[in-house]
Parts: sequence; structure tokens; C-alpha cells
Amino acid sequence: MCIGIPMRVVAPDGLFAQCEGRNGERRIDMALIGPQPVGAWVVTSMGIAQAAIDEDTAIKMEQALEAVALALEGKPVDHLFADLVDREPELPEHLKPGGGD
Amino acid sequence: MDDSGPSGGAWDARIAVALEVEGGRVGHVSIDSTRPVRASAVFHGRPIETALDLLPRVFSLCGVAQTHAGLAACEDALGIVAAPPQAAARQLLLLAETAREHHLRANLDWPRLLREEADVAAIAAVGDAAAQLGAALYPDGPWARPGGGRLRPDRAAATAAIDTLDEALAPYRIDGAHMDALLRWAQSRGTPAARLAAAVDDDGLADFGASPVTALPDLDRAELDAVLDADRNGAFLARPTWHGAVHETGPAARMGSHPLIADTVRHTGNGLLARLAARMVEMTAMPEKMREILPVLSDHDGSPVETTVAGSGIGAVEAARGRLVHRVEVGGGQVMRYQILAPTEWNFHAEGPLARGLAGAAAGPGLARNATLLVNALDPCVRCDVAVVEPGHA
Repeated sequence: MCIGIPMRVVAPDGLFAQCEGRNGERRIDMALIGPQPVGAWVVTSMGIAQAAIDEDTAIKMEQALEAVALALEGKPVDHLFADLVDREPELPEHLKPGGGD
Repeated sequence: MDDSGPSGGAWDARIAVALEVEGGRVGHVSIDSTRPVRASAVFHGRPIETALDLLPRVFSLCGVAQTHAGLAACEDALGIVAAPPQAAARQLLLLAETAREHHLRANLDWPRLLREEADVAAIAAVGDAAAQLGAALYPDGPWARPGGGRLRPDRAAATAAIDTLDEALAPYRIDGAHMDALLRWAQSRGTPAARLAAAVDDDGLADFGASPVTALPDLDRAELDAVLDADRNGAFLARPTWHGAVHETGPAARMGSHPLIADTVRHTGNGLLARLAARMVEMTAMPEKMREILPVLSDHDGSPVETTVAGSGIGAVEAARGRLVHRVEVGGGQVMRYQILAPTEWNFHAEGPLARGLAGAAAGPGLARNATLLVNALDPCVRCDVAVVEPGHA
């Protein structure tokens, strides 16, 4: 099960970048996709940025992962599928711009 | 997966391998996995289409294989047989993803194991070719619909994408049916893959990690359906066996009857050298397999679907890392239950090919690195750390 984690670039550092996502800040290897500006979204796996993605995609992925976590704990997840039930998707609190910078 | 961090949760999974040294050799091998084998519970109670939309969002790194398996499971449950052009198009996307994943091992992981730079341009070229293929088949959007998406194949564009892929993969082609050919290719040292093979051979590691674990056979659909149905607590998903035996899945298991791989296994067992070669042989065969499928493509709007059917379905695909099985129970257009049996659970089983391949290995300064090479050869889809536990520290 190849789960990728969306993360946002906080501080580029050559072929690495400090990024933040649901597990907090991590130093992410950017070799595959090249340097990305502050605020850019990437999908990471095993500490490596696999692809650059837009914010809408990042939000949807993040909400899907949040739903997985809640489902594993047996909690309700419907509020996380806004786009699939005709509502505007919203960024989770901890990933809102400015929230963790 | 991602990372080293204190937080728990579905995404923070990893595998920890501990090699306990006794009398100068590896005795017990313990493998602890925190992979969330029941993550697919997120699909329970959702409309079938929603589950299919969510699959590639959650399992984004091998999204084609996951979506393909999920789609096949849903169609099986709904009593739909995908039309040949749709099945062909899906298979093309899957083969391209497998080639891309193998190429990533050869151009990202292996250079790093050799302390070389990753070949980022080559990786991008292969990724672009896979993306072009998708656009050449389903220009109007999603393909993951029960019965199929709106298929409008552009044969010329698909052929061009496959040609690009073929060109990128050519340096990894090993011509010949005997291990001698493999060793000549390795000694050419023309790619990181060849240099890693040469290093493995030079260091006497060709047979490192060989194990008696046999290849995962075809799984009877009805029997697998019953086994998964009975797996209420996820124990089978976490530690699968078939008729009481643990099996290996992935390129080495799939390529076992290829002449070059069979000859290499005869000489050195299914160790590091045969595994590395199997990945390259499988990867470089992809463009030809893809060309053979092209004639089946034609315009197709998808088959009509009656989604109110109730039942269970199984979808199995050969993903880059091995056999990926999805099982779904549907009723009234909704997913009632969703299970995923992933290749990592076979290969990193406590008595699987990694554990059996490492048991008895000679202890010494190179052990952790050699074990890491075997982990990479078996290609887990989450981070996997290896620790050597010396006597007295257990």
C-alpha cells in the first residue's frame, strides 16, 4: 500500500527542503523533482518528494489520509469528503496557510 | 512511508527488521510492521464511485495498480466483464507504471546504494512517457469507472510513448539466456544497475539472501474470496499464507521461468544477483508487451452498469512490487466492506523471503548493508530499517 503524504515546502535548502505536513516538519529530499519554492506542495514517500502537486490535489489527498486515520479509529469521516458530496473542500486547520510557518 | 516521527496514525507506517546474531551468524530475524493493512476501511459505507475516486488519493504512489485492482474487484462484484479494449487500455497503464517503478529503483535507489547521483533526467523521461500514454488512451478524463471510461485511443501517440519508454529502458537490456550474459552486462558497468550487479558479484554477494520460499501461485478466486471473507480481524491481510505456506511475489517470482533468470538461479540461487536481473529483465520486456496489446485498442464508451447488485468481488493485478489483491462487498451501490492484500505482506512476512533469506547469513561489518540490499531487492512500499543485534544486546 503505497501511501504518499502531501507536504508543503517551508524552507528550500538546495536539493533538500524543510517541509510540513500531517506529521510535522521533515527534511525532504527534492532530488527527483528539483527545488520548489516556499509554499509549493509535494507528495512525499520515504522522505523523498515524488511529485509536485497543486493545492487542490494536496487538500483532497490530505483529507483522504485524515479519513483513513479516523476510519481506523472507528470515527466518522463524512466531513472530509466535501468535494465528493458537492461541498467546497477546505484545508484542515493545521495546514492552513500561516498555520504552522 | 514517510518518516521518523513521534506521531502515530495510518500514514506513519514502517517495517523494522532486527537480525539477531548468534555464533557469528544471523539466528532469528524479527520483522515488525506497522503498515495499516486495514486502511481500506475508509471506503466502507461509501458509494462505489467515491471509493474508486479515493483509491488513488490514498494510495498515490502506485495509483494505477491500486485503482486497477479496485476497479476489477468492483466489476467482479457487480457482474461486469470489462470489454477487451478497456481491459487492454488498463493493462497498458499498469505496465507503464510497473516499468516506471522498476526504473525508479534502478535510477534512484541503486545509484544511492552506490553513492552515485540519481539520474533525475532519465526518471523524468520515463514518467513523462507513462503520462503521455494515459493521455493517448483516455483524453477525456477518468478511466476508473465500472464498465470503463471513455476510451479514445490515439494509436500514433501511444506508439510514440512506448517508443520513448523503450529508448529510455534500452541500456538496461540484458541480451542472452545464460548467467554469462548477465555477468558481461554487469562488467560493462554502463548503468548504475550494471555497476550494482558488478559490485554484488565482485563482493561475493550473488547468492546473498537466497531463500527456499517459492513463488506465489495463482490463487483460486472462490477460495481467496472465502479466505478473505473469513478474515474478520485482518490477521490474514497482515500475515498471509496460502495452503499453509508463505510465498514470494514480485519480479523475481514472476520471472523465475525466464531463461536468463532460471540459469542465474541455477548457479547462485534466488539471491541478490538473480533478483536484480529479474527486475531489469521484466522492465525491459515491458515495451514489447505493450506493443502486443495495442491492436486490441479501439474506441469504447464503457459498458452499461447496474450498480444495485449485491455481492463480493475480487480484483488481482501484478503491480511492480507483486500481486495486489482487492476484495469488495457491495450492496445498493455502496461499498459494504473493502480489503486490500498487498505484496509487501507476503515478502516481509515473518517467515517470508526476507526473513528466510537473511537467516544464517554471516555476521560481520557488511551485514547491515547486505541486508539493506536485500530489502531493496524485495522493494517494500514503506520505509524499512535494518538493525543488527549482537549477543548480549538482545
